[in-house]
Amino acid sequence: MAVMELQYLMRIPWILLILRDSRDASATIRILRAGRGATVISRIAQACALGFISRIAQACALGVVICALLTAPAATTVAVENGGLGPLSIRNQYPVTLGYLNYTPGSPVTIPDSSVRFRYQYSLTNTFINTQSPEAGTTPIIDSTVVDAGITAADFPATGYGVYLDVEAARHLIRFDYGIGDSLELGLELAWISFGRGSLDGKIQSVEKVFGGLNEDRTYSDQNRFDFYVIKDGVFIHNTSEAFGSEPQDPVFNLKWTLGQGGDVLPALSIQLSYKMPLESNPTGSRGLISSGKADYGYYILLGKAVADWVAHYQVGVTVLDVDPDQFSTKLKHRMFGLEFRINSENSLLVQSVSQTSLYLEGTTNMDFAISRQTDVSVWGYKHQSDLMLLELGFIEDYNQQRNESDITLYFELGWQW
Amino acid sequence: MVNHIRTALAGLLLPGLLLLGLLPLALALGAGEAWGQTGTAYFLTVKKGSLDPSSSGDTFISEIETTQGHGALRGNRVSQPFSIQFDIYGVSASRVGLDIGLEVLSYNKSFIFADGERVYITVKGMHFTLNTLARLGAFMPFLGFGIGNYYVTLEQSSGLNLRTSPDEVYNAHAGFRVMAGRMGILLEVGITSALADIPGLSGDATLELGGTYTNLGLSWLF
Repeated sequence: MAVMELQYLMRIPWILLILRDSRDASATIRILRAGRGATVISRIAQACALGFISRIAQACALGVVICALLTAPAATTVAVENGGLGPLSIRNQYPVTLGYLNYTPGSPVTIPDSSVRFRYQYSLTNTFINTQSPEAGTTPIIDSTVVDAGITAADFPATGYGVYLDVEAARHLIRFDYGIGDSLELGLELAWISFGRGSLDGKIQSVEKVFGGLNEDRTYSDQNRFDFYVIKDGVFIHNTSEAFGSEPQDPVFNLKWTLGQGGDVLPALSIQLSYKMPLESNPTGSRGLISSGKADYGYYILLGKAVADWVAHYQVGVTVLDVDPDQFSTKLKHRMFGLEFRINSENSLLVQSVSQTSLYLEGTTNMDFAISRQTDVSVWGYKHQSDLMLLELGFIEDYNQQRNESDITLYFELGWQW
Repeated sequence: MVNHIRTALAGLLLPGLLLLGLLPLALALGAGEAWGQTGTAYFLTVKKGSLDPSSSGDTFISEIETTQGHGALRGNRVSQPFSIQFDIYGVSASRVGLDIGLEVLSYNKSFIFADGERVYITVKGMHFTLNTLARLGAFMPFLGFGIGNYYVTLEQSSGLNLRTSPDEVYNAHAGFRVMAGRMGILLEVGITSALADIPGLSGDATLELGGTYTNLGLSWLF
């Protein structure tokens, strides 16, 4: 067994416990501070007792690692690319979340020392949400007549959330990454967003009809409009029908630390920290739609394991939002699992499922309960990585449909690394 | 009606597309060198089993029994999920290899309480697991751990009608296959944690969609 894998094994108890306990940021920090060895292992057992992940489940999890290590052949000299080309790397594009930090899937392996990676990503997202649709079973009703007359607070219930979003968002993202040593990577993200009427509504409805999954809410409103209304307890959080172009989002700083690139048996594993710095403390107008004016942070665990021509990607994490706790959830929990098929060393096909807890609080109404459920999207795409360039093409489709997620996102990314 | 369509989509769209998309891809690009040398092999397994969440400590049943006053649950909580599992197995020269497992499952369960109150749940789930798999002749034990997604549509005769999903899903299982040529029998035991919030009279109740399970299945190797 490779010495690297043995060293890496020492970190496994931490990781298992973080995976189990990622629901609680402070607990995770306490665990990390607890150190190594028996203390951590006993805390794993303690964590087991707290939830329905019983001792059996945890024993199996540890057993997978231990059995594999005990029975594994001697270390091979062949490098196993456990990170693959990495998962499809695009954040949640639901318009209400764009003002906050969010998790972006990323490779569990950092770029080499002193390397620079530059990427440009363009994404186009179509969203239609109407919690007051006749299909939603709520009152009052919002349809095209109400929208034409101008949406007011009286068009939503007096308690709980009301959401009417008819948005097409274009996002231009520039990302810089820099490798520090063999296991650290610094990153900076700068993005500009346009909100508008767009032109995809008709095409989306046509496609949905073909698959028998038409979002009936759309049929009560006119196509290709821009309306952005979010209300809670009768007070608007956002209310505008004025589109805008190219406003800067708050910059995001990332630090990724690769704990190990794994081997024949063990996975590649990284921890990523992200921090969103507000450009201004009290953004108003259109900037208020894409900036909370507050600093958010997140921590994520990125894991990848190659099995022959395939790579399994597992990622979990938490984003902590500086937001009024009576308005939105202050914590978003994320998890992603995906499969990457390596066509060859430079090309991959990927599919992944990305889930996150809702930004909306649960509240007391049926609609509040529905939109406070987790969001689930599938991401499908292709990645190319060669000495010449990086290329990523993909799309995102909401498959949970709880009126809290965008319908579809189309995107591409171009990049260079030197 | 729309809710039913959406529920069906939620449960079936991604898993269905995954299976439909990846299976032909695997066959077409077929790294499928079976045993004997390094390569990739695939298992397709159909499973049927027994799932018991009664030891989970969830509170939804007692919410209906006691808080809502409908009396004791008649019968037990055991259900019989049906699942299809697709495994990507990295065949190595040694007897031990790794396996990525993708499983979709579904089951229904009707709960009837003492006064005739009825709760009906339709559950669809998905597991994504990493397994260690040994090859000891025709006997192939495995051990795995993973995450997943679950969705439940719940209808109560006198009240609730909703769809929800747990924030966290974990799954661990162990078992074996006994192969005869390219076909084999699978037996496994496992445990799934998939605790969903359900609105109750006094705050949220919880309903365990997973539990301890035993499955018997038929595997096809290709």
